[in-house]
Order: sequence, then C-alpha cells, then structure tokens
Amino acid sequence: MIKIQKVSKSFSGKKVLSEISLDIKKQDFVAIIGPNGAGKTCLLRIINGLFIPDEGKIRVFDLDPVKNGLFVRKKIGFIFQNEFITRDVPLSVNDVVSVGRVGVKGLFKNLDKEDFESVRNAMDEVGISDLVNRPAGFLSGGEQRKVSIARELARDVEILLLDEILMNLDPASQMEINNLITRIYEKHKLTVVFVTHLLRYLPEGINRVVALKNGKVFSDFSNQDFNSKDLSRLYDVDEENLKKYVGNFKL
Amino acid sequence: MWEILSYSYFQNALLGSILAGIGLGIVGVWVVLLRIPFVGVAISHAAFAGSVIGLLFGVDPVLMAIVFSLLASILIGPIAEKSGLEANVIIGIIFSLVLGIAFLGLGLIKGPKTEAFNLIWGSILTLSRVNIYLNAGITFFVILFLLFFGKEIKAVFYNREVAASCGIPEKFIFFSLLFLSGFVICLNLNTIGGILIFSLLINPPSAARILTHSLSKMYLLSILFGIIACLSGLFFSYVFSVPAGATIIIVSSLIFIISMVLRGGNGS
Repeated sequence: MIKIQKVSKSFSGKKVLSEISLDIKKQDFVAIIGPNGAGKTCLLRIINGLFIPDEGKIRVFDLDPVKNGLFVRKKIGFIFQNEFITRDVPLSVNDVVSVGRVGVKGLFKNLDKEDFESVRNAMDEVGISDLVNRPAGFLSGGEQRKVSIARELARDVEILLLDEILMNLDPASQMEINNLITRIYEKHKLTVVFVTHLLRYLPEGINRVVALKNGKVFSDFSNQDFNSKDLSRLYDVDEENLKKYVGNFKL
Repeated sequence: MWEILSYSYFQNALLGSILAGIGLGIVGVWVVLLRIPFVGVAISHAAFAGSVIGLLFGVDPVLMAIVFSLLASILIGPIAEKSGLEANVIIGIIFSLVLGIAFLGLGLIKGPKTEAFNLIWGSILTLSRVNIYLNAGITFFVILFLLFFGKEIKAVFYNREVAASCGIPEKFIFFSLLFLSGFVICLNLNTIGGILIFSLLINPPSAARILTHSLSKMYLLSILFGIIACLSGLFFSYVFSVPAGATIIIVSSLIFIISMVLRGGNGS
C-alpha cells in the first residue's frame, strides 16, 4: 500500500530523512516512534505528497504521491499535530467535518445529499452529533480531535496518517481517542500510521512499531516485542531512568 | 434634497458606494479570516508608487497604479511560499519597498504631484462612469468566485494544510484570494483613498464576525455594514459638507463599536 525506497529529505542542509525504506501493507496499524527530530512528521508528509523527497522513490496505491498529489490525497486522511481550530474562524462543527467532503467532491460541484449523509454518519460514529451546530473553535481539545477524526472519516479514506494526535489531551481524552482509532481501524479496515511519543498509551489495535532515529529506521518491531534496552538505545537515555517514564513496555 | 440624485456625479458616487460596500465587504472577510489586514495598506501604497512612476515617465498614472497594485497582490503569495515566511511579513516588505519607490519618484518629479496623491486621499464625488463599470466588473467577478469556490475558500479559512491534505487546490485558492483582494482594493482607491480604505476593509467584517459564528452570515453582514458606512458617509458629506472618506471610516468604526456593545464583549 505504501512503499518507501531509500527516501532522503533535507531542510536547510540538515538531513531529516536519510535513505529510509519502509513497506506498509494494507491494514497495517503502525506506530512510528522516535526522538524529536527523528523524521516522523516528515515521513508522514512525504507519504501524502506534501513534501517532495530529494532522493528515493515513494509509491502510495502504486502511484507517485507528488505527481498524483490531488488524487492520492483524496484517499489519505491526515490529522496534523497542531490543527486545533482557532476561535476567530466562524465555522461550525458541521462546516469543519464537511471540509472532508470538499476534496472528494472536486471543483465546481456543490456538496449534495450523499455528502451530507457521509458527514452525518461520520459524526454519529465519532459521537459528536450533538455538537453539529456548535462553533468549532469553542470546543475542548478532546472534542476538536474528534471533529478532525470525523472529518477524515467523512472522506472515506483508505489510509489514515495521525501525527501526535494525543498531544495536549488529558488522560481520559487520550484513552477515548485511542479506543476510537482502534474501533475505526477495525470497522473500516484502514491502514493507519500513528506517530506518537506516548509509548505507554498506544492504541490496542497497533500491530507494528517502527522506531526512527536520525532519519533512519532504527528498528522495525513487526515480529518482536521491544524492550527497555531497545528504547534506551533509541532515545540515548539510561535504561533505568527510561523505565520510570514508560514502564516495562511491551507491544 | 432629492434633486441631488439627478446629478450624474452623485449617481456615480452612490453606485460607487454600493459597489465598494459589496466588494470590500466580501474581500474584507477574506483578509480578516486569513489574518492579513495590512494587505490593504500595502496594495494602496503600491498603487501610489505606480501613479508616481506613471507621472515620472509620462505614462497614465491610473493605469500604472493598477499595474503596480496588481503586481504587489500577485507577488505576496508566491514570495511567502518560496521564502517560507508568513504572508504578513511579505506584505510588510512589499509595503516598505513600494513606499521607497514612491518617495524616490516624488523626489524626482519636477511638475505637480496632485494626481498621485488623489489615490491616497480618494474622491468619491469625482468617480467616472468608467470607474463604476470597472468596479461593477470586479465586484461581479468576486461574487462569482465566491459562488464557484465557496466550499474550497471555507476549507482554506479552516486550515491551509488540512485543505491541501484533503486534495483541495489550496494554493490556487489562497493566491486567488490575495489577488482578487488586491484587485478590489486597487479599483476602490478612487472611492475612498489609500489610507482610509484600510478601515473599510477591516471594520465591516470585524463587526460582522463579532455578531455571528456563521461564515455566510458574516459575508452578508459585512456587505451590509460596508454599504451602510459608504452611503451614510456620502449622506453626511453632502448634508454637512465634510470629507466623505473620513465620514465613511467614522461610521464603519461606529458600526464596529455598536456590534461589540450588542455582543456583550465577552468574546464568546
């Protein structure tokens, strides 16, 4: 579904991704972990064609996401790390979730009954139907995350890229969003790439953990548990100290 | 009093006011929601620089004003994109550049410079039919653009990155919004002037935003407030023989204050 071969990407002379290769199959639920600056967000942006690789090859649905950007992005959902809605934009929850249908619909066509049904179904599934007419900028962080998830669900995507979507949420909201993502993954048979720092709180559905370090794949824990030794090497932190933060972590 | 309506200069002023209210009411919403309020100042000073250069080289100053302001509005988006800086920063750079060009030109012009300053102060009572046709044309085009690309514009207001990731051609929409805003501002400089246009661009949509959480209502209220400000400015200007541009701005500011009072001022 997503094939990344020897992809490199630099910004201002600094190599963020360095000849990275990764093969993500249909219905993989992959957690991408790693230190800050390891290239996690950059990798997501390259997958959906927002960044152009300097070197290497990337194929999504067997297509180049840069050359076929608009088409490929219609099938890839992306929730950004900092996409909280500001109060000065006068959009309701319904408006924001409907944005998901805009790209699907294409130019010069108004959203129709079918689109609004998708929007309604997505809001029902995420549990925000009661917020439909509320100004989106006035919602809590957890509610805003659900609105973003509903927006991507309304698009009927096949791949979901989630960039640290648990950041700035309280523990209850983190659990709720994790459960929601697992439920959506199972129900819609999606391929999910989940970038996170919260190693203790990975969604239950995750079946693969890929660790990035210095723009390379440090470890791909597809078939093994990763232990505190691996994490210690990944983050360059003393093993005992790391345990206090992430516990005895097992996939 | 009503005989004034039979004079063609007043008819032009009336039509110009309504068109300014509609055009600036719509692009004002764009400018406020894209958080680039100073685009009005940069574009109007680009027009000023253009007219100065026109006078200097013996080319029609109005034509050069249009060329310069359109050039400025076309350049903001791509330069911001290429440099990775905020559009607001590029607006500041363009503003200082055109101001430099304008002052350089003013220093070099030997003859009268009044024509260049006309664009800075504006003169609603001297609008020609050509002005009206041009304003009507661009206002019509802006309305069409809004009708055709309304849902994409909404997505860009929400979040440009999200819009791009949803497969929406957000760059085309964003650049078009900047360009059309520049075009509308440029063609309305004769109506209200380069310095005062800033208020007419910002006050009506801001007052509208205070009163509603709905984007479509914000557009309608912004247009309504723009028209009210322009027409009442014209009325007071006629009745009390005061400058129309300044009166328009004071009325639009009053509308903003009244909106705040009506809303209760708690920002919710």
